[in-house]
Amino acid sequence: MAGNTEYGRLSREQQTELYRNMGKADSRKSSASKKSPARLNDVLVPPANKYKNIPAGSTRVQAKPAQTAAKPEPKKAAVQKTKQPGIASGIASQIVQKLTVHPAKPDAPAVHCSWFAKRGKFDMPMFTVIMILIVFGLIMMTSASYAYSYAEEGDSFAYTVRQIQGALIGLVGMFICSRLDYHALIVPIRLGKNKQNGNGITFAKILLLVSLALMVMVLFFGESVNDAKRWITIFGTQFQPSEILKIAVIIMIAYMLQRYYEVRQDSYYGFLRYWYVLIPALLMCLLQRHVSALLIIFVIVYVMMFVGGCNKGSMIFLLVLGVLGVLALLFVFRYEYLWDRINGFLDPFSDIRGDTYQTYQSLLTVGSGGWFGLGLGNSRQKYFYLPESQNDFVFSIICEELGFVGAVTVILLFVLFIARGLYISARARDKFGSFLALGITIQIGLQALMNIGVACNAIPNTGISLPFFSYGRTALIIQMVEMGILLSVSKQSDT
Amino acid sequence: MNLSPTRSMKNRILYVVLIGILLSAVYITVKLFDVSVVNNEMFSAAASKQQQDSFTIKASRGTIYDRNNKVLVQSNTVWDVIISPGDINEYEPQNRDFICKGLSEILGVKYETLVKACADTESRYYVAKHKVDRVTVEKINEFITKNNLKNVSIYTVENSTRSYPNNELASSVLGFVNEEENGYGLEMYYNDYLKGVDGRIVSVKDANGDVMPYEYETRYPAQDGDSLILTLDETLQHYLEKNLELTVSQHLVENRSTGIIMNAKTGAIVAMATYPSYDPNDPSEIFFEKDKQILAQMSADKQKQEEIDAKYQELMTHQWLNKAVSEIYIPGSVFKVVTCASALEEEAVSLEDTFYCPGVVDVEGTQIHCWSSGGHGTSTLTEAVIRSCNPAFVKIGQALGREKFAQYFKAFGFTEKTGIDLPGEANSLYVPLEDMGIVELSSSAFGQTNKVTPIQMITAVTAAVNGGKLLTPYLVDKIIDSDGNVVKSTEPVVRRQVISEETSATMRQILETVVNTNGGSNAYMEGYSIGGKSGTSEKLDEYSIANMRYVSTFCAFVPATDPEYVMLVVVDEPTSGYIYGSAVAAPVVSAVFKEGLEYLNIYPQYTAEELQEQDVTVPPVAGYDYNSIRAEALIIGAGLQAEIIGSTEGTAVAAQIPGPGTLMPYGGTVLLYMSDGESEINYQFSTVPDFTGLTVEQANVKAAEAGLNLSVTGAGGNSSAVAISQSLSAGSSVYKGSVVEVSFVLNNETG
Repeated sequence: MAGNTEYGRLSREQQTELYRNMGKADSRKSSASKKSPARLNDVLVPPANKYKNIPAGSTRVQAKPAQTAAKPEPKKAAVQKTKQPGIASGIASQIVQKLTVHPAKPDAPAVHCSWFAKRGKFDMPMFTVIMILIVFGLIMMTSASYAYSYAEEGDSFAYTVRQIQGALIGLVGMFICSRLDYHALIVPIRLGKNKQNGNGITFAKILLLVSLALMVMVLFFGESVNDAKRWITIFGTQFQPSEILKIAVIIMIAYMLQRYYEVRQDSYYGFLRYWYVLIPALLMCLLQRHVSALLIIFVIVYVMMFVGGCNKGSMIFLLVLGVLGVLALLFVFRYEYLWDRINGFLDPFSDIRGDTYQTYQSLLTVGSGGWFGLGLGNSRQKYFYLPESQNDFVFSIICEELGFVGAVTVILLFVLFIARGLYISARARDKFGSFLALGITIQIGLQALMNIGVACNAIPNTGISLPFFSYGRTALIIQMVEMGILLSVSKQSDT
Repeated sequence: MNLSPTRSMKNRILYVVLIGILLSAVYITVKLFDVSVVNNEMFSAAASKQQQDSFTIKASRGTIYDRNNKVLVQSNTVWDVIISPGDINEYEPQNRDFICKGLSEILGVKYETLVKACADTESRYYVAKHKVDRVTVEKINEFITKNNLKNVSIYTVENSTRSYPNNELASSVLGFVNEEENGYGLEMYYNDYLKGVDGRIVSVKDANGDVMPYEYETRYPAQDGDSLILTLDETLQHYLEKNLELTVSQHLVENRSTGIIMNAKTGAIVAMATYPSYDPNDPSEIFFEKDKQILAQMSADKQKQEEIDAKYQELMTHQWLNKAVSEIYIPGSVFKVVTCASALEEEAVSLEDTFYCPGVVDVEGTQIHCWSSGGHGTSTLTEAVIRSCNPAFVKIGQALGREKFAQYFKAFGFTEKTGIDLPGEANSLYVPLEDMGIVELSSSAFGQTNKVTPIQMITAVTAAVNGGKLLTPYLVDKIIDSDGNVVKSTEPVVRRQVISEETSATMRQILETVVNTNGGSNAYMEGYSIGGKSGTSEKLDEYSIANMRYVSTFCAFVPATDPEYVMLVVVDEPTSGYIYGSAVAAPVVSAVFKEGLEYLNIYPQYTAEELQEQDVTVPPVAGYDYNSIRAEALIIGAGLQAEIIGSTEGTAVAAQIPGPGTLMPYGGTVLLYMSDGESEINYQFSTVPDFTGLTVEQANVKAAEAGLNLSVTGAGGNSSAVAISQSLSAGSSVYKGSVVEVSFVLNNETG
């Protein structure tokens, strides 16, 4: 990493120049020649991209042969064909170049952390929306859980009490986080030799490593709930490390997106480097067979990278790969689990005592509500017909008790939350804050929409809980801490 | 370095991401609307179906009362014991064999059967035993509580059973209905009133089958069925059935016999019986001995089981039919009432007309015989009816003519159903006007062609004697609901005036004469004025001349001058040798009337002559320390004679035969044994002679020779009547002076 430090001292212009000359140079270490600064965008669009016709409206010369090749004139076509090998080898060399030759690693921007967020006003509207969601969530979780709670623990409010504990702890956490400067997350802790060079491990990295470690621990010491080994008990608290992993990944990716923003079009810094974080995270999810967490993390990161303007070719390639991967799972490997979910989605009545039991019961629950529902507390489906009524299917109970009107209220609250979250993201003081707010907002919003979508069978059953509503003490605390971070971003935003 | 979010970032956040999320939210909201509101009904119905537990509260079926509010049919509560193999296997598989064993002991059901039922884990409803009583239910409940079993695994459900306390009494009228609501009799005809409306308790259960702690329970109370108050009189019904049974056994009746008693003024049926019928408590059991023997014989002959089953089905279905309304017969001479009334009404004949009977008459080449082979010579109209002369009625029919005959046949209701409130009323079978030639007319005139139902026949005769009104017979007087409110009340329906009051009065006179002639017929009853007509029809459509079988009928009404009750008795195929209606059916009529009229507080009014023939009650004289003179005076005073046995000096009457209170014929002899109180009484004995086949005169001589008092019953007033049965068996030794009751019967068509 000594080399990195060296390049880290180069000015932005020097780096850019270096990157421009990469095609000619054999090594990233070749001396920098001073030339007039060029716009990064020009440099980042290699001819190969033109051949793929990706940037719409492009007028690059190389694009033309490909376009004329489509013309029905035989002579010209023949001429084109003779040219093909040359172009192909050109492309190949360019791809190889693109994948192997990268700009210098950008310097870690100086983090100005004031520890206490002093700048702006406390975001009252967002706070209000969050509090409404939490209180509403508590009420509905109580209603949805108390039959089950009574049957399991002999106390109708056992779940409620624990959820309130979570909410109270979360509230404290939220306030603390909202008062703290979120940059504290990425302040390098300078120890040892890093004391001099300004680099150091950050809280974000620690959090990520710890959460990954917990994920590994789950594999060995995890506890099974409903056949899935996703839980671990530490200090008497049972929780899903994947909940921590989500926010850890969000913080880390947000940090990276800011750090590599300038070289975002590079296939390495603008794409592959993120996989140092993503691959372990997704792999751990996969090992836990926690498809929903995998999906959520993937989508959050994808959206963050999309907003961060990462290497377009790679992003599209990833999307195509993802789609192809799913199709391959479905049609080549005929992955039973996925088919069951998709068939259940297409025909929720096909196996109402088996595979589609949850979906079918959820539909009955949602469908029982009508416009105004059966009234708060009057759900019948919660009497053990609807599994996980206090958890993944709490929204169905809302529909049953409060009807379509109540359900739309919940959806509107979440839309309001998302809109405000994205607004915070757009107005954030710096890119890190922006990506952080974006990631958190997307996480909550995505989980909410997917959960609601599952409840009314708008999407296949994925097994995602509804933020603020579903039972889960630790999950609620983590969500509220995230809200604190969001409020902190908002507080320090540009006015 | 500028770290602020760039413009393009903001654009992506606010336009791409936000819009993407909003679109997803809209999509989800639309889907939600579709499930929650559009398909609300479908989903909530499906949800309710799985949540609701509906218990049926069986409505109690209405009671059937006779006209004096005596219960004829009622419902009793019983319970079905249900087990749910699915729940047993789910909640307490370890108790499975224990439950089966316990239930098997309590219910007396085979253990293996229950084990087999429990193996069907898909099933949640298996009836371990139907219709158990309260005691068993309590045992089951104790078994459940004691062993801490789930009440979803075993439970009892209330049901009801129909009870006919009088067994086969009026069974052909009352009928029964099965689970599928198919059946017979009033139970079937008034099923919609009787059955009521089942109630329901809809409660909500959770997925484990327990009731939810909510106020969702909705009760729809059962509406108990209405009850029927019949026009039927249980007592008269009993008399009728008793006497039908007697005649069936006495005259070896091969087919069945039926009797109807109808109120002549309203059409209300006070008794209607078919014998043999069945016990509606167990309708599938063959009741008639003869039918049982047929089946036993088939088994003994090792016939195919299918054939035996088929025969069993046939006999069983047949015994359920009410012969009075669901079967047709050839009415025979009783129909002459209709012909006669029609001819008189049309003035085709008059009382003064005379008819000559040569014994056989030729109608266009068809020989029509009179029942009396020698012929009756010349008869007036009344005599023709008394003698039941067929050639005379051939002439009367011809005098009436085809059109008029058909017109009156229709007017008397023979071409339509009577409309009685019973199911399965048969249609009559008759020669319509266009097919009626002179031969058909002639034979129809004395009732030997068309086939009608007994209920049609009695309704027609009633019209002929009640002043000409054709009534609709009915059985149900009132329908009352479970609170006793009258739901429906039957008003007598006069369908039409068939003949005039005058013609009807003439008919009453003629028919009263029929019964009274020659000092009395088999239907004659001292002290009552009875009108009637017998009938004996040949079952020409079923048997050849050589093996002919007959239907013996008698139709009578009382009092003859202003009929209150009309009664018809039809005995199908007597094989005792007595075939005539007056011999086989008339005694039933007279016996039922004799018991029934007194029960109805219609007491006999005797003429002086009749009083002479009345039975008298023997006064108590023995044991009162009476001397012979005083005792004799008391006996003579009672219209009897005394025969004193033993010394009259210083003695008192120690014993008397017959004993005090015995009914015996006027002028009979009472034996008085005198004793001084110390010596033994030497009773004298007589051997009972065989009276069978003797006329009253001959029997009197024989009784006197034997030293017995003869009490004549039946057609004793008629010199040609012969003894058919006696109360003391021939050859037995009895006290001298005992009363022997001998019943006489007139075995010809003149009754």
